[in-house]
Amino acid sequence: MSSVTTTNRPFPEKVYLSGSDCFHLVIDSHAKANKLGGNVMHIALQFDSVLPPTIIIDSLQQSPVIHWLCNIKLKKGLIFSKPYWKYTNNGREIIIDTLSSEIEKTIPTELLNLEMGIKSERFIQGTIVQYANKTSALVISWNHILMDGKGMGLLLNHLQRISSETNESSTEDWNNYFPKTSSSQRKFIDSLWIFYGVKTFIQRSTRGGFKSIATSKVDSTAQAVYQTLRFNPEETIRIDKRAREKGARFGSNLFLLASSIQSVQTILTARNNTGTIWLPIPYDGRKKNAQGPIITNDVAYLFYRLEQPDLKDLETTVLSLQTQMMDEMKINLPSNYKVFLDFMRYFPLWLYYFLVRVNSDKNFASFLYSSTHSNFDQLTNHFNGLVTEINIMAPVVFPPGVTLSFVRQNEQIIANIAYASNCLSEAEYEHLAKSLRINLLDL
Amino acid sequence: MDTITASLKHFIETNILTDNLQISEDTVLQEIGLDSFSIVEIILFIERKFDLLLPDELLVPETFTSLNTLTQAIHSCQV
Repeated sequence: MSSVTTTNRPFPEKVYLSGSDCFHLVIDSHAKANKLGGNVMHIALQFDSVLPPTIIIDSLQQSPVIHWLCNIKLKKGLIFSKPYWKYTNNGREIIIDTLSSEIEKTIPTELLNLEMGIKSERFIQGTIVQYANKTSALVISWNHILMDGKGMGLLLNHLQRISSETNESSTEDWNNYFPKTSSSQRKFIDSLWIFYGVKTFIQRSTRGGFKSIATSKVDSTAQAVYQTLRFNPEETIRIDKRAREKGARFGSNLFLLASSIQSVQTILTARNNTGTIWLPIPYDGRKKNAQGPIITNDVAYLFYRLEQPDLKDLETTVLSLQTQMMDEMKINLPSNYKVFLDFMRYFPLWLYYFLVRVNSDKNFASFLYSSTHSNFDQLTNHFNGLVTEINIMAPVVFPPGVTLSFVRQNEQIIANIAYASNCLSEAEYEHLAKSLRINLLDL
Repeated sequence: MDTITASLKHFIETNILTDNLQISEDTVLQEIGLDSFSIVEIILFIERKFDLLLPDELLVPETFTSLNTLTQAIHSCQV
């Protein structure tokens, strides 16, 4: 087994949360208040055989990144100061459970309902799932406050590097793991001006409110439901071709988003409850080809507002999204929004959550959406096994009560739909899924 | 190196790619991680730097394959 040495630097004692990390603290509060949903993400690496657990356990346990992640505590700091992770060095190792499942490629429900809030002792764990057909999966579950999907992809790359048998020893660079401390020379008054500009933009963008599938009442009997739609390589090629036909100029992602919007719109139409659709869409804020940071949500956002004329058909929706994307990037909105979020870190959490609720009528968006783009395209082998599929399950956040997330890996697209059972009936879910397939594939 | 190519190279290396990563005129941009957002950033840079709106027929994946293809596209608009 390769040995891993770090540089001579000790583990960092204190790592401040980013603006995006702190927004996940708000989501945590939101889940508590509404007694549903949360912040726990799951990534499942499917293997074509049953891997020896020791390979996985050894790899995870020898990783200094995993060690650090298992030995931290969230500190809120004094009033009007930034929250941070404090390294506790309690000698904890990652928990790795084992579960069995009859149906291949599924994440067991008990795992999907795992609770791992900010008051937990652990924010990351592993589970080896063994399927009846002699295949297996490694599922890593983590609280989204720790890292985003791209960060998890980078963590998997890191684990791959240190578990490779060809490396007798490997020196990892701490700089890759943690966010760099800000070297911004921006004056406070400039930051305040940017903050005000972004606040005004968001208020204008959400004026008049927006529609979502969520019901208004908290229902303590509601459950989170997770469904997965898979598109094989042939269907994926068809989706990409259709994306170009519908006017998506810069790759298929806006087409996937437009298809999701149109599918949600069919539910709202059936309920006679159409109106404005409003969506904050995250994307990776790191520079391209970067190997870090791993431990943070380094995310930029674009915001899309669609009125009924924009929702006429797929092409019109794609065009509207494209236009808004370019307009917002022209005014540097993504980087300015980061400044805005960084500012919000200084607000006490109760005040932050209050401001978000008041300004958004207690709802974050018409629905939540994310896409891993090509984060896992090259990850076809890991832990000495052939990876047949990678999937990431994003949690339900209620309201809005529906999360759509797309993963692209190994020439396949996977669409996950997570929803609250008090927001969508089974029949409505079937209708949503069918509509999504029709929009993506032109069936 | 063509001055347009040099400008594009500098912009991409400074603003889009991770530190110290350098590209050549033939580097396939998608293979080093450039995505749809990066393409939009490049389009907006071309607009600002060369006072040029790329026409619809050039807003296709082939234009953004490499620095060379981008340079050719810009030259074709300046003729």
